Amino acid sequence: MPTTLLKPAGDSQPVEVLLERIGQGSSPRYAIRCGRFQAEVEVEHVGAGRGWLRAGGKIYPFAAAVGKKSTIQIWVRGRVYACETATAVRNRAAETASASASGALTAGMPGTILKVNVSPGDSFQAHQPLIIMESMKMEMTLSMPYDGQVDEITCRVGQLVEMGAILARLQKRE
Amino acid sequence: MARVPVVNMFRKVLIANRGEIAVRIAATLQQMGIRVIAVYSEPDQQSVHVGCADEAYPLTGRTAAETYLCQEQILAIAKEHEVGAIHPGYGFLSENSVFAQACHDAGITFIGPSAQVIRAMGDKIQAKAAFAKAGVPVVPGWSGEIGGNDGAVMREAKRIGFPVLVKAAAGGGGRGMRVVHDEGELAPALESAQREAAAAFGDSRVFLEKYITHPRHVEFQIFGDRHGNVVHLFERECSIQRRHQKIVEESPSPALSPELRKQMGEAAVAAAKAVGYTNAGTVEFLVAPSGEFFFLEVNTRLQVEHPVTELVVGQDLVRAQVTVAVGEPLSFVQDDLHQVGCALECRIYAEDPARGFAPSTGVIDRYQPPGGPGIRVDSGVAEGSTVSVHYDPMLAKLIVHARTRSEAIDRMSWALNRFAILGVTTNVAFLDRLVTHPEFRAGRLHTDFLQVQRLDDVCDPFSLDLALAVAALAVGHDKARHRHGRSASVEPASSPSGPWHGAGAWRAF
Repeated sequence: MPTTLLKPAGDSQPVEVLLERIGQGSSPRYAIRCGRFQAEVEVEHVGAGRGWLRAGGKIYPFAAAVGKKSTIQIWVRGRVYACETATAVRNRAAETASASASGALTAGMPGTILKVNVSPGDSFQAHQPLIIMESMKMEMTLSMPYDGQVDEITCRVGQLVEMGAILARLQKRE
Repeated sequence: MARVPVVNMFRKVLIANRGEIAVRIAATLQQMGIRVIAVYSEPDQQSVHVGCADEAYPLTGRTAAETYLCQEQILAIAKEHEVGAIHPGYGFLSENSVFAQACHDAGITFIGPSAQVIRAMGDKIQAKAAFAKAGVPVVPGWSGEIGGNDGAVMREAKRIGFPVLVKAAAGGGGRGMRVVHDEGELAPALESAQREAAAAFGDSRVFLEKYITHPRHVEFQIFGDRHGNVVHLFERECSIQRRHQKIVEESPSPALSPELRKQMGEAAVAAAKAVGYTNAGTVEFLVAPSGEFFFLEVNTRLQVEHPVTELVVGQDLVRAQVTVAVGEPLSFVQDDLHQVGCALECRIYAEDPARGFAPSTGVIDRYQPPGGPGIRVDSGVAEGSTVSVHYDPMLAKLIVHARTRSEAIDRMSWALNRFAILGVTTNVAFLDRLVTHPEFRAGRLHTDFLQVQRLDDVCDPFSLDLALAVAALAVGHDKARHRHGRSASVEPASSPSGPWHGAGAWRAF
């Protein structure tokens, strides 16, 4: 089996995971190595993307789902872990690079734009409420941590936006 | 003993709601031999609550305002299909007196208190006055007109003393509510609360109240029938809140002595009798660290957290609601009711505790609720359900019942650790850290608990490694599939090639 490069969600660095299949049969066994962690794991599948692992003499139920954009969610031991493949990380980095270069105000959650307090050309101060949005009937006030100037507003009042959507392009005042 | 049929029992009841509460109400109605009529918005066409009904009819529109809040559409369906009653659930039209009156005028029973009582209690300013008159202690505050004259508001806020709370007169669920710590925060808080209240309730009136630091939120379940009987079904403590919204509830409250419980229960019943209360209701109190209690508000509906009471007193509150609505007397008197053991509820939300509890949307790829003795899950979703921005992000309620509070916590933690939800981010692991926190175990609760206590997510490296192993297996499988020359976009469900055999729902990447 090949080496897989995965990046756990958060600030963690990508991790190289080595998988080697040992033997055949209905419950495949794998030798797994990631970092200093080494284990022999037996996989028991009871349905689509769910089952349990046997590792170190203990049983760990798991559930797994692969989302869009190569994100992988794993539930094991009562917790959910997310990771991405190396390809997904590279693609995402490329997408956001252009946005952060010029400075952008993005939607912190999916929802509706309630109020836009600034126009292109306006100056703003750090923490000044620039845009107010609503999601599931809760308000969220968006501001920037620095002083600056508004270049462009890329949303309008009443618009439904996705999480991470760019709502305004800004310039930081040096 | 033969069941004595109620002669005028409803034949059909329409549930004007969605999600877990519609599913839960349908279960009791069907058990009572009543036909369940569901309604659903366009995004909810494939929702769980539709499949649980006996008949279901569409509401035109997508947003809550266009659908579950649209009185005309709901009443038209109710009339066309000759329903005897409408159960409003919680939220949406449940505390709308105009709707209750419209049902009454159309000859349809509204399962809840009278329109008049809903109106009086829904106006928090009026409710407070009514309870004060009945001799129940209320939180000091000011309910003058807040409009053009900001000077008067500031003067009153200073008189009450900061911090003060700005609350919507028509409020609920923490909406239209703001804590104001000093003078500078007052004007923006008023503006924002008024705007939120206008959007949520169509009523921008707000009032001021003294903000009691570190109070407990303790509420009493009350029930009245049309024969003048009013009882209480003891308390629920709902002090654990985030953004003024409850996330963990329990009964009995670890804070109440038998004397205080009796005193508060009697106050709730006396006030309910004074206003002519019928059907289910909840009288909310704040309990200060000193042990003083203050009336907060009355919720004229079935509460989200009603299962906690059901488990502790052994009554089906929806059944009692229907019985009372038909005109029958309550099937229990105060002396029949006892708190047995301890019940604990956790609300499972699609939200990210690490990002300020921001709502999470998406498709639920995996949904495996736990089960076992003393474990109840009231779900509104299933595998494949979509969580959208249109509605409340609560997915389910996990309720446990055990002999003692300590056993209930152990049971809750066990169940949370076996609740698998993937596809959207949830608060499940956060809830586990919360209920197993030493301060929670000790019962030292207050409404600012989550602001004060740190519930850091300490990652167990072994679990992370295991998770990575599972993920790597998934990727390995995918690569193996590519090598076998299969299409990257189509995953045959019967693929026998890898460890993910049978994982047909997996998308290729």
